[in-house]
Amino acid sequence: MAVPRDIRRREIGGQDPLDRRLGPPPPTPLVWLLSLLRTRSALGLAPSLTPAVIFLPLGALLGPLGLGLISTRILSRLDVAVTIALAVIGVMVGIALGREIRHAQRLFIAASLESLITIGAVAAATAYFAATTGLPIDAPLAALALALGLSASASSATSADPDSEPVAAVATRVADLDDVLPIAIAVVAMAIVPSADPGPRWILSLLPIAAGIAIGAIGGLVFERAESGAERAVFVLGTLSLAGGAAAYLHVSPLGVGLVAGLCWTIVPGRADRIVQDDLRRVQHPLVVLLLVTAGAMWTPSIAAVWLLTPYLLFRLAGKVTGAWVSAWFLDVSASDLAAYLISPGVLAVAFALNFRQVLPPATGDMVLSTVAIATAAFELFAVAVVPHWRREDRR
Amino acid sequence: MANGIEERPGRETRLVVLVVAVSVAVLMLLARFRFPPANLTTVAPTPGPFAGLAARATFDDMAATIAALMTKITPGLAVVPLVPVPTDPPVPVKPSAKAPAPPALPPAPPVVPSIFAVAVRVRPDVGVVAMPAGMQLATEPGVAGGPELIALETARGVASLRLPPPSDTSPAVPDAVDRFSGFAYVAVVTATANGPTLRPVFIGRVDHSPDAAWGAPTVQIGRDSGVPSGALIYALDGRFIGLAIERTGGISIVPAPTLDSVFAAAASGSGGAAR
Repeated sequence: MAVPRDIRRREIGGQDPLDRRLGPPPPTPLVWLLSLLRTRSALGLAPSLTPAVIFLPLGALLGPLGLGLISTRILSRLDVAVTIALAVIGVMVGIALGREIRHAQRLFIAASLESLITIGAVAAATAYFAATTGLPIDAPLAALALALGLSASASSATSADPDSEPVAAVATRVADLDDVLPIAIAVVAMAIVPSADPGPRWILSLLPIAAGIAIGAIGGLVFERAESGAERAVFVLGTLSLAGGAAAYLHVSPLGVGLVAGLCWTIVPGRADRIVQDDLRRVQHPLVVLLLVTAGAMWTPSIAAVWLLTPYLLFRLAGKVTGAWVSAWFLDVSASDLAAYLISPGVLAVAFALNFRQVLPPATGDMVLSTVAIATAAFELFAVAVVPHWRREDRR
Repeated sequence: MANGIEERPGRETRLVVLVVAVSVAVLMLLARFRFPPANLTTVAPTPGPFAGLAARATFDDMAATIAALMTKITPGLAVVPLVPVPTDPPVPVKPSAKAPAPPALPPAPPVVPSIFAVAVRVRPDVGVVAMPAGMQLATEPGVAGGPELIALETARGVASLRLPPPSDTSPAVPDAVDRFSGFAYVAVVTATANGPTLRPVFIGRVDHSPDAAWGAPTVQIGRDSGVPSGALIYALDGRFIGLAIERTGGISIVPAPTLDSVFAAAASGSGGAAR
């Protein structure tokens, strides 16, 4: 937090030598809150609030349980856009993976360890809690635990400014890479979740890879042959829609299909990854808003979701702190700093929950989405508070 | 701080242990509670992500059409119970003086309808029903307001009935299809104990052939059409096509105009078409 230098003479209220030795006085709660709002920004709306804090409650307000402006019928229509948005997020993670994996394997291992520990902590706590308390669920216990564990593993480090200090830059890269392992696990998990599809399970786990490679090949062939920017944008959006549509048709994870496609565009020679990234930049923010508003509108209050919230919050925090502590052995950063930045779950947690809602039975899917939506907003608020506090203590 | 570098990992390890210990302790505490029992409600499964955009299946449209048609045509229908015609009792033989007396006959069982047939109203109070050979209208003795037989047309295999008036005020006599040419989905109305029911059936090639019993052409649809004898045939728009009856060559449909001209006129007393 930047503190303006007091240049007044001590005779007129400025600091004397004793004041300087004691340091600046602790801010009042109001000053502290205002300083949070001034020091960082997101979307340019409310300086320090991340999109999840704004748009999740907004979606709940506009949804069927609120004002009803987003009706159930509209939500069912939005499922299409949500699927495509999930594929787009998968593409972004895949592009980040493709760029980092060549020269940051150590970082990737550290990020995967961090996410694996969080998944394990939240999944184990959820399974134990649900089994012990007799939580009524209409899905296999492992599916519920894994869905919450994978949603909890997501980090966005939205509270970190990569240019502010080295640990923030490392945290941002860890947050980019720690989504890869959960997406891979989600691909396998969705093949295991019981469904009406009678096909062999191993084929379902390979289908996202095959579909992603096919879509990557299609994009690699057509993107650079576009004769104008508008035509190229149509190709990009069409290919992304194809990724979402293929995933929906095959009943596999659109995140996984997008991840493989994004990885292909980064690995293959050419500018496909940069083309996609440039065009996605235009739709990235609307898609994030769409996902968050949709998740908020789909939020269904339930006692079971409230019960799951406590173990989810506690063990996500424990998982992130422990994961950061383990990852710090691979990285030259402070574990506590890294954990503070990784607290923010970002939109990917909501994306995981929306993805699992599409495959889980309705009651359990709504339970997962409601728990993750509330926890995401809570963690984003927590991250707003914890990072400046953390930095201020470090400076002392 | 000379040992600040060594202190920091120690502090972070303590932080990790503290956070994990608190989390586990709270989890153990919460796990002592039981989730309040609640009845799980059955809800419809979540539709697929693209179900909203996909065109609705034709079968769904068909089902909706049939359901709407059921509501539309029900006032023009009536389900009547049929029973087998009782056979003549055996002629008693005069007992000889040496023969022992025959045992007493058991009492006659109560009249229980063995099948149900659906009648179409050609007038608000007059209906026509296919009457299979060997069957008759089951009338409960002493019960007023039920269907009454007006005439039995043995050669045609149908009977005209006096029916109680429909419960609602909607027009009971449906519009008729003048000439059914086949190759169309139709609604086949059959009877159940609880009322008429409908199902869609596709009828392909049909032949209009003269029928001496009716004095007018009937529509032959063959044996494998899936239409039982006695069923009523409606177009999907609610117009009445005709009544299915058993003929030598299979099932034939007596066209609605023919039924109307024969029975409506007979019931009004202006014609004597009943044979």
